[in-house]
Amino acid sequence: MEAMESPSRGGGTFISSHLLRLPTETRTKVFASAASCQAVLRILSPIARHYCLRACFSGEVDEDVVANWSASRKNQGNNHRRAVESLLDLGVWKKVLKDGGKQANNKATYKVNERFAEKLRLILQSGVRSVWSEPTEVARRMLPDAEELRRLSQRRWDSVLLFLAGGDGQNTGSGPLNLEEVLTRLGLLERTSSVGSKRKRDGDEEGGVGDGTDTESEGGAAGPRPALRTTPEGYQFLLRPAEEQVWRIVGEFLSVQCGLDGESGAAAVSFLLQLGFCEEGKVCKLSVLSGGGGDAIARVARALATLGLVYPFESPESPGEFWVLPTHLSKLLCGGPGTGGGQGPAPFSVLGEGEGIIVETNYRVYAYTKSPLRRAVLELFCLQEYVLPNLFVGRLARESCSAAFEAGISAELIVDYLNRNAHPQVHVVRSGAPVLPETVADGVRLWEVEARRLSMSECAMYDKFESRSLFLESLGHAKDHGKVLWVDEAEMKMVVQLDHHNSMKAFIKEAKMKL
Amino acid sequence: MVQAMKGVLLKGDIPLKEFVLSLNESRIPSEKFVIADLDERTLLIQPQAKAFLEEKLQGFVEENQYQPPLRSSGHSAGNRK
Repeated sequence: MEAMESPSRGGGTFISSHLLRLPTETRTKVFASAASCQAVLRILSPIARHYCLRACFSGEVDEDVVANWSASRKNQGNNHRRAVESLLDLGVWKKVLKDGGKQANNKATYKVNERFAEKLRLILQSGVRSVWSEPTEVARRMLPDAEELRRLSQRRWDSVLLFLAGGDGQNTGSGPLNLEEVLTRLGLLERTSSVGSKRKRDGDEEGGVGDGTDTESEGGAAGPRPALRTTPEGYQFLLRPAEEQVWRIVGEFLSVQCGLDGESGAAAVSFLLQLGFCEEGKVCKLSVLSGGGGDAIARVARALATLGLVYPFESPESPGEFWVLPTHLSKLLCGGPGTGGGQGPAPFSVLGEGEGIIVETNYRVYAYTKSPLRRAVLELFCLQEYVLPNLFVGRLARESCSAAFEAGISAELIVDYLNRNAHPQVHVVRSGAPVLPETVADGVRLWEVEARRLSMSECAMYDKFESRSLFLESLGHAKDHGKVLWVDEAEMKMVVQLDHHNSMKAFIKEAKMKL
Repeated sequence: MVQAMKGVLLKGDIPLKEFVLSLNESRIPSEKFVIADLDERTLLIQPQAKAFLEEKLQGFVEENQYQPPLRSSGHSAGNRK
């Protein structure tokens, strides 16, 4: 779980965390395009952006000068440091010691990446020509309208997650995006050795999903890939915010398909950067983007189309020319974790009009939704009571939540999911109060505590130490590795995780020789 | 001579631990599984007994769970099982 949350800490957004993973040369290649530079500028924090603009004409700036920029205000120290760090991490700035560091009081200078500075000056002086343009009249008639586009793309994306949830959402086969591989690599799915073994949770759910719903039913046992199983991480993933889901899948796809370095990696990232910041309803010709990595871009575009992030179409005027129309989901690419979470409706909500979840204090859950995915996710922790074409009614119950805890979903995740996907009306009615009734949230948390009431762990116990110093030394060793489960210093007994037993044995032997 | 013993560390609340001890007491000496009673919430048990205990403890927790009476009105909850 920690690993999933960490990208937010690095640079603030998922896209910047991906940029950080790129090798330096690739990053420099990303800076070759003015539009990408503009996008990079936009993902920076406001202070960092400001610093960047201040320094772009001079090309370099002394460390103490930069330090002065924030000296006047209190509490700016931290923000200042973080801004400079993020610039250094992204390779926008480089720290250079004056005179090669020979002088005693060597002062450092920050050098702005030359390419970046050059592009930035270009943008400031003459503006950047956007690759996005209004679709032509002919094309517009052919394209789906906003409502339709939203529906289409959402369905694509939902089917990806349904595939993960165990439904037969997406057929992988020979698409540009081997979903099965990507999900397996992310550790969300795993292959089980015995073919035909039924997935455990499918068994519990089949009765619930099959009947009453006329849309895609989850064909549990007869599913297309009986040898795959959703891991605990996979179930957790289903409940996470959409921007994180989108980014993890796209990010993994990028590193598998395009590699992180070279032209293709850079081209792919440039494409994503521009996609994340494009305006609604604008379209783009794919060949305009291909600065050396046309092949990669085409591949990325096709993969994104599979995920529902862009809508590809062939130009009606000149056949053979491919254009893409970004959907509402592509906005999530450059949205950071800060933009989606928290209280109030998310700005980039993937909920449709009038959709959302209402939880009553009596643990009953009403979810206005038509999506089979949402129903499948809710059934992970709710007992289903009725299903209407646009409404799911369920109940949070001890048994259903225990099943979720067993599958690896934590109470916090459930509470968070219900909060995040609350019906807009709930925000209005319960203004100020928590969106999810506190009794319900506490109830779910208590169930979790109860489910984890007992812990059993394989271990080894050590006692009858000859001397206190030997005991303390051994204890120190085990503590350094974080493997101590239980200790009684008075009795000189300790319990250590079993996987540390061999190392422990060797250490005690050695310590005894020394003493 | 330092002595090492392999086993399974069981951590739980006091009632749960006492229940395990009583289970242990009720068995014949050769089948006892508690190796050491470490403190009021912790026990060291034989690895073989893990599966058996898990099952027993699950039953113990279920038994002591308050089930609110189901309402027999139109909101027929829980009959989906």
